[in-house]
Amino acid sequence: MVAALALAGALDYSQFLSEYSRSADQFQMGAQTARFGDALAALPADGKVGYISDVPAGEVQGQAMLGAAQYALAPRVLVPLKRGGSADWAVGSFTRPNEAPGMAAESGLVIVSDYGNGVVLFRREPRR
Amino acid sequence: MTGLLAFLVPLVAGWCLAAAALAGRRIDPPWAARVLEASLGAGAGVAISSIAFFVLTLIGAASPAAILAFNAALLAAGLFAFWRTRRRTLPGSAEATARPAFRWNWLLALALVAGFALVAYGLVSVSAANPFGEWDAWSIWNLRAKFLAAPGDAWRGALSALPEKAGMHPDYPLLLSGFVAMVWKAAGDTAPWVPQLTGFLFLALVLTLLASALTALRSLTSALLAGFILLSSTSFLFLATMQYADLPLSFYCLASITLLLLAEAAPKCLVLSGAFASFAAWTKNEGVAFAVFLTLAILAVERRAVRRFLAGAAPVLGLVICFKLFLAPAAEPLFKQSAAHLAHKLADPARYAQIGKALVVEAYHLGQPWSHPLLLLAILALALRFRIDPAGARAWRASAAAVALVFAAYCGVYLITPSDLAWHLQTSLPRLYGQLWPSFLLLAFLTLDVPGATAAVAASRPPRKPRERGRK
Repeated sequence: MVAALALAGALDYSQFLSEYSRSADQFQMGAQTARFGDALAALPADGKVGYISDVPAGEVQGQAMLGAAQYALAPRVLVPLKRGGSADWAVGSFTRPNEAPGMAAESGLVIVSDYGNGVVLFRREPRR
Repeated sequence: MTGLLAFLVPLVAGWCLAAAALAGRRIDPPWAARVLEASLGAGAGVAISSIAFFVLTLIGAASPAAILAFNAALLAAGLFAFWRTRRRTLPGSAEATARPAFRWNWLLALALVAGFALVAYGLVSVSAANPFGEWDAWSIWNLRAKFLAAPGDAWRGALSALPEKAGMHPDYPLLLSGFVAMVWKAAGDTAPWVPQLTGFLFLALVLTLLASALTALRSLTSALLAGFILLSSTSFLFLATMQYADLPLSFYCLASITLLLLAEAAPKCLVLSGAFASFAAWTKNEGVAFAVFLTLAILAVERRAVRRFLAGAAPVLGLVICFKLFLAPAAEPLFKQSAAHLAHKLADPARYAQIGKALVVEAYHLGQPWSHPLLLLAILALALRFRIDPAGARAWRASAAAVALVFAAYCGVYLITPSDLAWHLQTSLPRLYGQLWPSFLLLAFLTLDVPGATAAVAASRPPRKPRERGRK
């Protein structure tokens, strides 16, 4: 009886897994990490890199975007930039890319390259 | 190819070392002894190579060549130890082979293999669709592995004290991240198959270790029935796809308890039990609690045994202590609360009620309602009744006490957690159940009077030597 119940449960569970596998990557980590492919080559190999986003890091979506960027760009250490942050390089992950220039200006950064898909590379403006 | 070699060689080397370490201890039937050696050895191989990689990284010598050289040396040492100890292997005891076997074991085994094949296919589909694992995999375990596998001094990022990196838990021990990083560094890339395969490896090791341990300690029927309970433990099985350290931790706890139970007949297994408890401590902070509580439990049950246990645990526990004191940043917010804050939480009855409710809800979610593992265990308990083997009672008591104390400690942490309690319970309790679930199943099945079960610990005890006359 125990074996029969466990087997029937296994059958049911395997059907659940089959359905679940269609939406398993709920944060789309595969796509997220691929977005940063071009930025990887332009950034220094390690060290601290600033991070800017239009989604606050306090929100779940913002945490997921930061986490995906950090995973894709490791071993660089991403440091979310507040105004006046000191990293020479910064990477942006935007849901609304048209906000990038404004946010860059507020942080004293200039856009180096817009890779599309919401990924933007910034560099600190040289001090005058 | 290099990555696959770096992955497999430590497992084979560990197997040889485990076979050598267990040589001369009578474990019946012989096939169960071989599976037990392979399961323990593969787990030990992962731990040893992870530790070696971390030490190589610390001294700035972690290169693909150094990793492959270490793995080759480990394999050579394993093969040499295996060859040296083969002559000490004992034949199976006549008592064990004469055990009455349940006549339908073959059918149970067939059904169990079919059930696991079905579920494994589903789990592999989920893992293929989600190759980077769940949240903590890419924000903690694999992220730290990427830092460790990076060239130069970039590995220090895994221990970053930046406040923004607190979510990466840079104070967590490094067994899983270290093993994944070791393979990545040897392969020269960070392919997701390494953490994916590691998750499934540990699921397989838990299954084979539980089955072989129960066959050796009780009977094949016990092992098969425990396999069915594990098959119905869906939240536990899902851990294989998550790429978290909870599944490896569950294996090391199970391994330590298994060896403690085997030590009733072969006291030298205590050293190995201690070593596996220390591997648990190198896997997760909860493993440190397990090692401490198991030591205390052994101390309470049999004071003399603790020396051997600690001799096995000391080297890696020393590494864990050094890691915590000198390398890992103090990032655990649990210990940064004021006494008044803690007292307020401890005196709040609503928190007790919330934790109690979550314990029940998550226990319900261990499996599906009509094939729930606790329901199946209750059916078995009613049908078979209980019979604790007096020969293994001390080790059983110590193990059960350790598991109960670890679980109580988890509940205590929830009481005083600085995080939002609802969030903390929801995101961690299913995994905490998973950490202790295989050990709980082993201990539960040792109390059930399953058909074909014998006093296996007594049966596996080597025959007493006749007292030599005239010996001084």
